[in-house]
Amino acid sequence: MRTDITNILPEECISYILSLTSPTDVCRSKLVSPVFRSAADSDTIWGKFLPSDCYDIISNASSSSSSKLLTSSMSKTQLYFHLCKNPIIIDNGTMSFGLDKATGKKCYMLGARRLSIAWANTPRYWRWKRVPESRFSEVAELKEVWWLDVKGTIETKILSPNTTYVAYLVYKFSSSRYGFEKKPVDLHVELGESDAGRTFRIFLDPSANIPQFSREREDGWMEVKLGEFFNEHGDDGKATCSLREVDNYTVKKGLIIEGIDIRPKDSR
Amino acid sequence: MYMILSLPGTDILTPWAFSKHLEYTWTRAAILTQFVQAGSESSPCELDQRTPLLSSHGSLCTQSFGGTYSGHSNATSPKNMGHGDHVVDQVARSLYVGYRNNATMDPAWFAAVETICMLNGCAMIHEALDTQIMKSYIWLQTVDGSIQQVEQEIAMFCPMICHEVIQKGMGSSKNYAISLPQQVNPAVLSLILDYCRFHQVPGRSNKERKSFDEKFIRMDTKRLCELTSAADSLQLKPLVDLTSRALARIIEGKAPEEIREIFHLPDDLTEEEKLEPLKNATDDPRIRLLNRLYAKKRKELKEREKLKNVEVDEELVDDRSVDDLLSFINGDDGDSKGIKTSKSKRKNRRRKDLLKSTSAHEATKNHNKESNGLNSVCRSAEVGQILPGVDATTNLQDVEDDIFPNKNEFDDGDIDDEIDPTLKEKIDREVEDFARRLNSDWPERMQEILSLGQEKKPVHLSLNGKGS
Repeated sequence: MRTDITNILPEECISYILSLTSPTDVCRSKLVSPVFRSAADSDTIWGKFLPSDCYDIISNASSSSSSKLLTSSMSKTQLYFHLCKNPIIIDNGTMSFGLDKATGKKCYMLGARRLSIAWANTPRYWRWKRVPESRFSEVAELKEVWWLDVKGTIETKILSPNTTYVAYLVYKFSSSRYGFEKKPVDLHVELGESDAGRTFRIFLDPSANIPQFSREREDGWMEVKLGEFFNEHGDDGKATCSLREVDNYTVKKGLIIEGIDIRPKDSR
Repeated sequence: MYMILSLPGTDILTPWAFSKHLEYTWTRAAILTQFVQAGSESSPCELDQRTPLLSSHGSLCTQSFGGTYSGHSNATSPKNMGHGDHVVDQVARSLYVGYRNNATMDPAWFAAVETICMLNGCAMIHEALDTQIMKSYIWLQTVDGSIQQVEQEIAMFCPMICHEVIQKGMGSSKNYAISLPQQVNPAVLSLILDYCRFHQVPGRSNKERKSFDEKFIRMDTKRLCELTSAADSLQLKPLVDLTSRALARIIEGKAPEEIREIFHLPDDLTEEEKLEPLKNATDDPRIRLLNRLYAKKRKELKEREKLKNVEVDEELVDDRSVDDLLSFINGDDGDSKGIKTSKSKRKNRRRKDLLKSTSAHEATKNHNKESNGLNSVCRSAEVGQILPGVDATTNLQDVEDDIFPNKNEFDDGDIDDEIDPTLKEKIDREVEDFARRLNSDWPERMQEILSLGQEKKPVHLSLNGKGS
């Protein structure tokens, strides 16, 4: 006679065992049996998968009280899934924080205001505006520029340890785009002081037969991969991500930048 | 309830010295006083029936042993002890155990001290103490009824057993064996005791312990589960951790069918439950409502800020591009002039309404969306399914007027701070319905618009030029 383990193991034990696996495994285990299903929804599991400084980060969230109200009334399970789908705005509205669903690792997006964009404060070249489809209060719109230099940095100590992160530029083209089909842009990521990093050159707005490296995001924006880096313990200083096109012969127009999204590799 | 007896000297006394010490240093009165003070939860004259009692005139009575034994000075040699010698053995042993542990004592201790002091002859005590084994044992009973004795230091490694011994005074003899929880059968108990036997020795290195653990954990899955459950009931956390991690490694990365296979689980989720998308917090209707409120509040905040620094120019530009788009949709510029004006009139009126209700941004949002083409429309269809119904409906109302006859209702709904739940349900349903239709219709229509847009590009640009 084969007895199933759910007769042997109490649900709390199953929850504890599941908490030692990964978020993906836990979600998958919901399809095993009714007891597993129930065990998988326990706060002890999802509380473990939340980053240890999660509540600190949320308490520093700058935005309206509704987000704080929302998150403070949630159970750990609800909070985990909420942060996976709804990044919260932190740091005076310049950055957003969320979680990668499969691993529980931290994801950040640097808003356009937080980036170093050459000539951004000269109204002739760049314009700042509010668009409702951005999570941030402002996005940068390129009117025209010859020297295109967009750079963002992030401290590795706020990232999850032992993770390979990928940086993406989150952008759109306006109807008046120009120049990006003529000249490729340089995409670059480097880590800390000593790393030289890697540079890729691609066409951001390729014409017919040229490969397209950008892809569409779920929130309606486009993204292009700038590069990746490995964060071990968070003591490598800053990671720097940039997009440049500075040959000074071609004018560029019509690029709208929301920010730079930094998330673990292989996350959606 | 317990007191720590303070004994002079820090060296461990030999049994003989110990008994001597008791005999000569403790007076009866002193013992009685301590005993009375210690027995806060129970009266000094009556403890539970397993411990020796003190009768009203101070002689030792032990009801549990079926008789009374009173200390008389003529009880000089062991041979003269009638049915009381079992008592002595018992008492002497617990006395010595208590002393050796040098920790909290149970009330039997005090009574025992009393007894021994009343007994004459250190020789007898010496013998009594000597015969008792230097080790002491704890008696355990498993669920099947079998009883065994286990060395004290090994058994006490389990918090639950420790608790039973110290707090309740159990485990001291066969009759008072500690009943282990039902999850602990003899086979599993033997495994647990092996574990305790190894780990309770203080001198082992971490490497040794790790190596032992790795070998220890090699057993079939069923046994591992039993072990986890048993260790959990005995509150033996290190073993629970060890076995749980082993089971976690087994589960990791496996598909549900494989897991069912390994653990011999019946496949008894209903088809519905299997097909239901992985339940997460956002399916909870409360959370969805909160999400909507959240998004709404965020929008309102943005709107209010925007109204403060509204740029008239910007709105004019946007207005024009939507008109363009509308004319594309209608097919040509000429014939639709009439329609266009009426539409724009309607839009203007609505815009005024919207402005009043602080939803002005939605009009401009539409325009931005449409000028960005397919992406944004598809996104708004998605948004309709996930996020606020309000978002999607107001977005598309300018373009597909006929589909929402009760738009005004939504506008009003927009103003309210409390969303009526029934209205909300209605909005949900309508949005989802529309989104579904949108997903099927729009790709073709937008292709159409885009292709038209490209043909008329020069015109488009100059119109924008006018506005800036």
